[in-house]
Amino acid sequence: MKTNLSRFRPMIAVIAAVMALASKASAAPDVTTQLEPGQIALGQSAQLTITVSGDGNDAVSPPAVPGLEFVSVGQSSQFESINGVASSTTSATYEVIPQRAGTFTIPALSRGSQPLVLQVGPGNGNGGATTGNNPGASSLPPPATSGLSAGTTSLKQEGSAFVRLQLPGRALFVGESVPVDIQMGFRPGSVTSLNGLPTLNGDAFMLNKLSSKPEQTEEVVQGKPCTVLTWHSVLAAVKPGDFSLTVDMPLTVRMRTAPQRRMQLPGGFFDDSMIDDSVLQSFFGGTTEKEITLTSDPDAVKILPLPTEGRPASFSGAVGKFEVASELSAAKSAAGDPLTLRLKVTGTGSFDRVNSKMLGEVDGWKTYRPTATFEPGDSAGYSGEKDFEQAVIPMQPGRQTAPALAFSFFNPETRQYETKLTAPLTVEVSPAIGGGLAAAAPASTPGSSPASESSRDGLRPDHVENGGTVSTLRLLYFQPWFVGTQSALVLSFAGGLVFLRRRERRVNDTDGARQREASSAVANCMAEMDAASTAGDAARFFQSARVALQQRLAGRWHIAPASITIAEIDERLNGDGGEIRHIFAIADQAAYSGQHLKTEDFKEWKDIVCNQLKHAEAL
Amino acid sequence: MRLFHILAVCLVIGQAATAAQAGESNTAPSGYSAATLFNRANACARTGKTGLAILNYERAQLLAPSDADVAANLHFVRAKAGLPDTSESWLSRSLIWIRPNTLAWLGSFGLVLAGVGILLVRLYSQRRLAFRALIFAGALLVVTDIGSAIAMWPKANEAVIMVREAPARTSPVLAAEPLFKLREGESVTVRAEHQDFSLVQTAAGRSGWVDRADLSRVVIGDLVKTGRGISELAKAR
Repeated sequence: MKTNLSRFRPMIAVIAAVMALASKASAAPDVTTQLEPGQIALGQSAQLTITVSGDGNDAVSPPAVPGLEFVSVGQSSQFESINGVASSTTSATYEVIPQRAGTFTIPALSRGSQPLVLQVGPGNGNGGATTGNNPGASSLPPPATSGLSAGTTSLKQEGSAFVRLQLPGRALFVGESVPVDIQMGFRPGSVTSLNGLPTLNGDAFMLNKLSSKPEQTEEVVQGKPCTVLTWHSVLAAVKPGDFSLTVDMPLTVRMRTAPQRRMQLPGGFFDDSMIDDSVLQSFFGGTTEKEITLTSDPDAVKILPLPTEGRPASFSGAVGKFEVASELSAAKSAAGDPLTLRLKVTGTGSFDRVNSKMLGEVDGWKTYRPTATFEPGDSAGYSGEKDFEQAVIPMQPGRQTAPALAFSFFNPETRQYETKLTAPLTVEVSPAIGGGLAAAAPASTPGSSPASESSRDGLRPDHVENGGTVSTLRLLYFQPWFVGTQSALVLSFAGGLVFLRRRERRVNDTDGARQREASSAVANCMAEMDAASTAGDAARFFQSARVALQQRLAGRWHIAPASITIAEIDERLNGDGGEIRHIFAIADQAAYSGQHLKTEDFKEWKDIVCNQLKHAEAL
Repeated sequence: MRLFHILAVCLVIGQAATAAQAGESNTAPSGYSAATLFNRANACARTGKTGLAILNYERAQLLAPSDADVAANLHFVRAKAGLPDTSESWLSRSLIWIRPNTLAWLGSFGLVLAGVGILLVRLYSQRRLAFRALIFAGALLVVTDIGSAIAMWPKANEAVIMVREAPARTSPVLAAEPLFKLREGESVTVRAEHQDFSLVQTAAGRSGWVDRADLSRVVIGDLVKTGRGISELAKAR
């Protein structure tokens, strides 16, 4: 039931207000005042709204109250005509800024109205005037509920933005570096731009360079979403003493220029859940942009001096917690050869104060000025590794030991100085080769100068020019003419090898040689047959034919040509070589009979012989 | 007699002119030796020209890889500049005792030995063992020669950064975003070239395009004809 009534409460209030206005339309001007909130802290402001309704159009000025300053924020007017009766309402809004803490009474501005009371508590710099915490909300400084208060410093866009510095809750030591977070939060739409990076107030501290791209997160503050920008950095304490530390953040904010009309309406009518602040602002009044500087609440920081008691001689000012390690670039070397000695300092703390002289004047070693490089382990440079490199030269041969390196620092946790020692490094040093710097013997490399002249700048001395020069540095391997010559040599030898192998093969191949010999003999016989045919000598023709066949068959049967007779042919061919046998017989007959043949017969017999030669080759 | 006198005068004038020319050539570079490059590198190191010093030590090392002075000074200058030594392969470390060009000639000789040995084995098989020893010796020289060429191959593409800081970019244009910066004297391997840029790779394996004017190759062509050495000196100044 209660819920149902509360639902109609705004409507009833509006109807009542309209009825009241209507009933007083012809009456004397009515002045109402409203002050919100009634309780604030010093450094904050309240809002006073004076509404004049009726015939009078003159705005009413706020009364003078000692300790309170009234700053006009805006004014609005409204005219109405109901049933021919005209009425007007004029509202003026003032920012009430207390000058001191206490209870202030603003006298009544009209007869019958009550004076307004404003309680101002001692300020702590933040917007602590709001009531109620949203469970689960962050521990950010609570924002105020009323409008802006523009100033130069210690200014908050109340309820819309804040800046804060997160420091370790302990005393610092001079030279100590600690990680800090600078956070700036704002309600969406309230800040139009950041006009720079946060700056530190106080000459007792040094802040590392801040990133132009801070970490951005979303948080809930007072039940409303809030964007929080975080810069991670390192703060270094410079001098001892008690200091107050604040951070300034220049930014441009959007400010209201007209009163918040919803404050004059029955509570809950324009709820935040219904309409956003910015919508209300743009609807009921204009907004303007203003450059302001937001300042964090002051933090008291105590900086202690470093104790003089027990301070090691090698202490260079480093404060933090560190570990050290060292190494040499080689385990073996020659006298006079340069080596690189490295010292690695790792840990957390003030790395800008981490310094080492490395090896100083040590017998048997020539040392040079070290160089240092720092590799940060995080974005703020609070942790990381600092490497020192030093060129060192062992001057004497033998087993040489580079002494342990000492590094001292002040540990703020234990509040004591600590000295870390590296392990001594041993190197096997052979006698100088080629005119080493420390070698007593003269240089062994041709053209080297005596070693004694070289040790001043650490370089081995110039060489004596011996006249041999080259016109190019391109190595022979990569010169085309050299590659071409080598290729030609390889090809020549490969060609010679191929030639020899072929020759050997021909020498060793007796069967092939016999075949080649037979072919040659057959070719000669054929030529002889042609000659005999031209001459008409039948005896010679058939004799050559027989020889040709003997040669061919001898080649196939691997026997002497002369041993091939008609009997041999009969035996080997089993009566299959009739034509060959016939040629052999005619050859014998022609040799003794003096038989003559016609030209056509010669041609016919030659074809027969050729066929038989082919046949014999296939046997 | 008169003709003889004229000839004698001409001879004297000619000798004087030749002598003058010889004096001039003594001041101009007539070629490069390991000693010349070493001395030049020393001079550069003493005057703080780290890049040029390392470049000349590298070049001197090409001609005299076993020279301990060159190696020591190169290491010293690198250490002083905070630069790491370049890692050498086991092959190049084992071949530093012979000059590459000498090894190249020995390889050629080995090739001839091996080739002739192979032919002789074919021709005179009765002395095969002796000729096979010849082949083995020749082959050994050839293999060493090839090994040396393989070891020296990276040197052919090595370059040294000549300016204090050389940006290595994402692409071969000046507007490209720098990936990282190379320090003077740092040795890099040139992988490719495009117009005025070289794609380089560091010992750590990072690659980027560097303006060619910011680096010098260790192995270049004819130094005397191109006058490259003189221009490098001018650049370093």
